[in-house]
Amino acid sequence: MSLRLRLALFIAVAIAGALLVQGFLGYASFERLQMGGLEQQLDAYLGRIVDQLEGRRGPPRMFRRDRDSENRSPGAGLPSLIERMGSDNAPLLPLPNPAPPGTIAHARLLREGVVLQEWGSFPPEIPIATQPQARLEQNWLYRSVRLRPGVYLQGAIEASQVRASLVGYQQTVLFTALAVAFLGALAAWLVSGPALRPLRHLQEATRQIADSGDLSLRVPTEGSGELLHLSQTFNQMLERLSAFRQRETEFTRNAAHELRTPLTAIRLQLDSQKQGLSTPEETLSVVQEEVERMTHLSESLLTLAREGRGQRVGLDLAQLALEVAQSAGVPYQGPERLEISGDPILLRQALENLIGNAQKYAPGAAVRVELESLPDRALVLLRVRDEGPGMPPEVLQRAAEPFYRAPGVRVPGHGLGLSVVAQVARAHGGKLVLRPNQPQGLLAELWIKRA
Amino acid sequence: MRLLLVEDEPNIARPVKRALEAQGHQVHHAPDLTTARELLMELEPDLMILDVRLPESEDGGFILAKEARSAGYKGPILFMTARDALADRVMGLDEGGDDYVVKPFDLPELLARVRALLRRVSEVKQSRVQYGPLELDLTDRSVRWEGRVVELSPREYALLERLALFPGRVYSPEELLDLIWGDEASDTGVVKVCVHHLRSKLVNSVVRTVPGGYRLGVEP
Repeated sequence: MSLRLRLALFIAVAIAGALLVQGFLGYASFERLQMGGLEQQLDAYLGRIVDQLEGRRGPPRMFRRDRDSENRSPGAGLPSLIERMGSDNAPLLPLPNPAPPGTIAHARLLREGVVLQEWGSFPPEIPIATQPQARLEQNWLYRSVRLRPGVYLQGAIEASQVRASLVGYQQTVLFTALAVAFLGALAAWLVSGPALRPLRHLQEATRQIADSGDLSLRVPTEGSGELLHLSQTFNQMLERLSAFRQRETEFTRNAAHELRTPLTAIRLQLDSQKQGLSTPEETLSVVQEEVERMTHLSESLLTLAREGRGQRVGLDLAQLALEVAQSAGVPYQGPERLEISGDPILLRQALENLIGNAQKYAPGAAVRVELESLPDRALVLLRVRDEGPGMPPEVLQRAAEPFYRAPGVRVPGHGLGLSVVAQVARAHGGKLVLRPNQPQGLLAELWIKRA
Repeated sequence: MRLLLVEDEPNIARPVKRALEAQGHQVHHAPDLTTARELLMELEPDLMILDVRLPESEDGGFILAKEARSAGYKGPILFMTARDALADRVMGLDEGGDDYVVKPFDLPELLARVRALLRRVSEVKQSRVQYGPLELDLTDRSVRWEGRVVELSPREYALLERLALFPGRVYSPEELLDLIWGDEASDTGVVKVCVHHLRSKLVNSVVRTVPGGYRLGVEP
């Protein structure tokens, strides 16, 4: 069910509920009013009949249920009329039916369930009863008055008009509740359309994006408040996602590209040998060189793909730096022991890359490895300095991007070395800083958290 | 034919250069844009084979092709690229390229494409040429005379092929020396010797000496 429909239904139900409650309360008071009037008329009518029975003239007496009719029997002062008709079954005098004007009313005199006398033709659907409360039976309101023990006067007054107006009232309440609820729902439907349009557009746009996977699409930013905010946030998310995907695609493409070069070389070399254009020795050395290159490339790619999530073990970084420096034939300067927790394989790879870079891009220039600990900041700085030509500022900025190769550089490589170093630094809660060295050359600083 | 090969990877350039030379072409290799520009000016090659990614730029090959075209180079251009995205291939062809091979390719494929492109340059449109009793198969570089296979040296074949591809054109000894020997010989004597060998192996009239140089002597 759509939000719009739900909203419309909710409004409809709320309106209908409110109107029904209000209608019910109104109905209850209306019914009391109507029934009260009818009961008064019935009481007046019964009073007149009792007056007739007592042979009185005068204002009609009223019977009230709240008075104790047992103690103050209305027929207390009757002459022996009732006595007589009860005992000898003599026919009663026909008495007029004093129904109030504009109403139809009947009455009958009962003694122990036997009708003694009727005023008017008493409706047959009303049971012989002696309860003093007024009751509604079909179109009649009836009650009884106890004249003396065992003798009751039962009166019934026609209530069809009252009933009709009550039913009319009920129908009116019900109908207006339904009609207004429907109108409310319609209004809600119409109003919520434009209000929810941004949401619909957002939904369409998101579906389109989900179906096509095209992250360059944007959702329309419209409406106001939360919806506007949602669209904007959604677009920001798309921006980031598409940038991320672009980077990833770029990376993958570069990786494939880098792999294709050695593969091409090997393939051509093999073809060349097949055609007798090169010696087996030459082919072997080319294949070896290219396989070496691919191995190095795949190592770097793996490090980058793992995002440097290495293990963390306790290790002596000073020892590690000294070993790598010595095997590369460069001087090491720093403490003899420096315990940190990190990944020895990644750290070794990073340091080898830095030294390798320095030797490659600054051939013949002096290269130094330095290690320094900053205890107050829980940081360790591993530096590789060279006194080669250094890097121009724009290259310094981009040097750590994967596959970035400075324009005009003729050194073999795949442009992943420094990005691997940067990745390793990040994995150890630090970063790679590249700066010009004084007086000249490049200073690469690997910042590492001690723990 | 005279070819310019621009490729920065020595392990790719070497086998390509050798294979093309074995086909009798003169191959000049440039490892980067700067060298390529110089060679382009002084060589006037019949065909260029360009790697797209060069040290100076990701699109180095495209850049060079554009420059060559605007400088009036009319010969075919073959790109070698690792980028097989459609956009890259379209771009390569739009920049004046005629064909491309996608890395990793193999030698036979490259050679076939080079042959196809060179046929476009020449006046011959198929890989077999026949002028009366003379038959040349440009694919396997074999020569038949009246149905018999005749063994020729690479230089002899290259000279005969050059004359056969442009029948009617007259080549001076200096031109032939430049086209077939390149920098490896400086004396037109080698051309005379080569023509002599051809005439003795086939028939005297196969290469005709005319004012200004030599041309193919057999008529279709």
